[in-house]
Amino acid sequence: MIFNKSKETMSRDEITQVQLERLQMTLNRVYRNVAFYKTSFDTQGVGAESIRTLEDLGRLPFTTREHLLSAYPYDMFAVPLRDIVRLHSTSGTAGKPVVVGYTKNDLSHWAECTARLLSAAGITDQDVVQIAFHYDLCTGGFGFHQGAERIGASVIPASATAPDKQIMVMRDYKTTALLSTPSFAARLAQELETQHIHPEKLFLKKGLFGAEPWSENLRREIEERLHITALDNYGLTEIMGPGVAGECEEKRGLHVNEDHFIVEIVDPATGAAVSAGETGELVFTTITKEGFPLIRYRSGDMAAFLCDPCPCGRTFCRISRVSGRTDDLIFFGGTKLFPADVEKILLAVEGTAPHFAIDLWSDPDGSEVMEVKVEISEKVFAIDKLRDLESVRDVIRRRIEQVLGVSAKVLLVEPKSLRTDADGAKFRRVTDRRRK
Amino acid sequence: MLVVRNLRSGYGSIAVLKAVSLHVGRGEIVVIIGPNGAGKSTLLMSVTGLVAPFEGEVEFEGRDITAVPAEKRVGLGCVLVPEGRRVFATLSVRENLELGAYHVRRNGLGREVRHDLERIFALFPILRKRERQMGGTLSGGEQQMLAIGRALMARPALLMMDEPSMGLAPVVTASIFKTVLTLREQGLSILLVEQNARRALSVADRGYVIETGQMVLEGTREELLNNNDVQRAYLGKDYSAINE
Ligand SMILES: Nc1ncnc2c1ncn2[C@@H]1O[C@H](COP(=O)(O)OP(=O)(O)OP(=O)(O)O)[C@@H](O)[C@H]1O
Ligand SMILES: [Mg+2]
Ligand SMILES: [Zn+2]
Repeated sequence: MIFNKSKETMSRDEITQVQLERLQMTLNRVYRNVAFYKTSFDTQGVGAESIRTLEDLGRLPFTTREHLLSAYPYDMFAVPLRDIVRLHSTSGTAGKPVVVGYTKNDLSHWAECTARLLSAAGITDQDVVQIAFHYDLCTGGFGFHQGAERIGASVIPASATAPDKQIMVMRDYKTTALLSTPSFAARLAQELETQHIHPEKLFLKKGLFGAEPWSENLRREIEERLHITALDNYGLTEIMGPGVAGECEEKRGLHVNEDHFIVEIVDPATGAAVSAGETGELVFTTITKEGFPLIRYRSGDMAAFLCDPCPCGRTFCRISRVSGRTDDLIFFGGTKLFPADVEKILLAVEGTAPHFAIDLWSDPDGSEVMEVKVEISEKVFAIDKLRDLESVRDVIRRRIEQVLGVSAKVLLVEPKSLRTDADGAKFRRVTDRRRK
Repeated sequence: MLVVRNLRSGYGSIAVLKAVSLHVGRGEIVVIIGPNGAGKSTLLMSVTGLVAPFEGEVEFEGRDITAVPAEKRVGLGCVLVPEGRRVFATLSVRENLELGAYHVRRNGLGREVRHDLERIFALFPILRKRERQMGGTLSGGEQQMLAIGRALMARPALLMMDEPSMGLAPVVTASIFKTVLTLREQGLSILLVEQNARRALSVADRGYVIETGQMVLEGTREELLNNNDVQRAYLGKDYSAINE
C-alpha cells in the first residue's frame, strides 16, 4: 500500500517544483539562522538567490562531517533550543558526536517518512511490529516507533533486549514484522536454531533491516532462515534517521522521500556529479527540516541512481543498495566507529605503540566479534611483567567500551609483529570476515 | 493550476521579491502570510500582470503566461481582488459588477451575464438589496463583497485576494472567509494574502511565509500552526487560547 499517495506518486514536474520551492526556503532559512551557512555562502559568493533550478544546487559548497563536529553541540541548529522537542546524536565515536535537534514538525515528518517505508514493505495496522533497535540517543528505535504508530500497527518497543528474550517476545506476542539491523536478524536466526524453534512456529512475515551495509547473500540467508521477506532501508542521523529511503516490495532499489530530501550522487574525489547510473557518494540536502537543516551533506555512502520507473507506482527516485563507504568506517554491533577512533584511545594508553589491527568475524552463534590487536611498546616488552600487560589490556578494553560503546577483545602482540613491510604486502588495518 | 518560479519583481530598480517560487494546486486554498512590506501584494500583482517582473516564470493551467498582459490573464481565469477593494464609488453596485464581466461579454457570452449576476446575488444577498446604490455608500464589508463579486463576474479559475479582511469587523471577516470556503466548494482555487494569519490559516489547506521578499517557510495549515516562528510572529502569544 502507498501510505501517502498524493505525495509518493507526484509527477516529475510536481516533484521538481516542490523541491525547488523547499530548497529555496531552506536556503533562506539557513542563511538567516545558521552562522556557518551565512559565512560559507558569503565567502563562496553564492547565495539562495542564485539557486534558480535544482541543478544550481551543485554550485553550493558541501557540508561535511568535520563541519558538524566543529559545530558541537548546537551551532548548526536553525531554531532556538526552546523550539526543539527532541535531541538525538550520532553513535559514539572517539571524537564528539553530532547532536541533532527536531522540532514538532520535524518529528511529524519523520513519522510520516518511516510510515511510508513500513507501508512500502506491506506493513499495515494489522501487523505486530517488533522494533529491535536501541531506544536511546540513536535514531533507530524512536524513528521507526513513531512511523509504526502512525500506521496503526501494534508496536513492541523491544529495543536492544537479549536475543533469547527477543525470541520469546516474537513467538508469544505473535510478532509479524521485525525491524532491526541485518546482523541482529542473523543473530536471532541463530538463536532460533539454538533453541530448536522452527520459524514456522512464529508469525513473522516481514523484516525491515538497515542502519548498516548488508549483502544480497545475507538477505537470502535471513529470508531462508526466518521464512520472511527482508527489505532494506537507509537513513542517517544527520539527515533525519531511518526514513530517508527504503525498498518497496519490488526489491528494485530504495525510494528516496524526495519531498523531504534532495539526493545527489557525486564522485567522492572530485565532488562532481557522476554520470547517470554510475556509483558515487550520496549527498543529501534536507528541504523540510526546521531544527537541523543540512545543505549538500556528504554521507560517505556509495550508491547509484536507478532510473527506470518502479512498477509499485511510486514516482520517487530510487538509489541502489549502498555498496560501500568512501572511508574506513566500521559498522559493529549497531554502532559505528573509525579505526582512527581506536588509535586515539591507544595513544592515550601508556605502554602501547600506536600500531594496531582490527579483526572482525562472526561467531558460530551468529554474534559479531571485534578483536583489536595492539603492539606493546618495546619499553614495556623489556620489563616483561605479565601483570602489567594484563592491566594494559584491561585498560584498553574498558576505554574502548566507554568511549566507543562497543565490547571488543583486546590482544597484545609483540613489537613490530603487525608490520609486514618485510614481505612487501600492504598492511591491512581492518580485516572483516563477518558474514555480510 | 498556478506555478511560479524564481519571480524577481518590484518597482523601478528596487527588487521587492527575490527569487520567489510557489504553486497552487487545483481546488486548493493557499495563503501567504508575512509582515508589512514583505512583498505579498507585489507577488499577487506580478502574478496578475499588474506589475511586470524583472525575472522568473508564471505558469497558469500548464501555460506560460509570463509575457501575457494583465487583461488577457483575467480572460484566462486568473483574477485578483485587489487590496483596498477599489470599488468604483460613483457607480452603482450593479454597474460595478457588470464591469467585472467585461471579458465574458467580449467572448460573446453577454447573454450569460444575467445568470452570473444571479449567482453573485445568491452568494451575497446584501448586494441584491443594494443593487442600485452607489458603491461609495456601502459599508467596508459590503464593499469587500462587491469587490469579490466583481472578480467572480470574470469567471475565474484562480481567485487571488489581497487582504480581504483589512479594516473589517471580526464578524464581517468571518463571513468573508466563509465565502472563501464556499467558492472552493464551487471549484475555484484560491490564493489568499493576509495579515490576519490566524483567520487565514483557519480556512487554508496550505500556506507560505514570506519575509523581506523571500519565502522562508511552506507547509500545511497544521504544520504552519505548529511552527514556533509562525506562532511568535503571526499568531501572538495567546494563540493557543484562541485556537478553539
Ligand atoms: N509602487 C511602488 N513603488 C515603489 N515601491 C513600492 C511600491 N509598492 C510597494 N513598494 C515597496 O515594496 C515593498 C513591498 O510591498 P508589498 O506591498 O508588496 O508588501 P506587502 O507584503 O503587501 O505589505 P503590506 O502589508 O504593507 O501590504 C515595500 O517595501 C514597499 O515600500
Ligand atoms: Mg499588501
Ligand atoms: Zn517501488
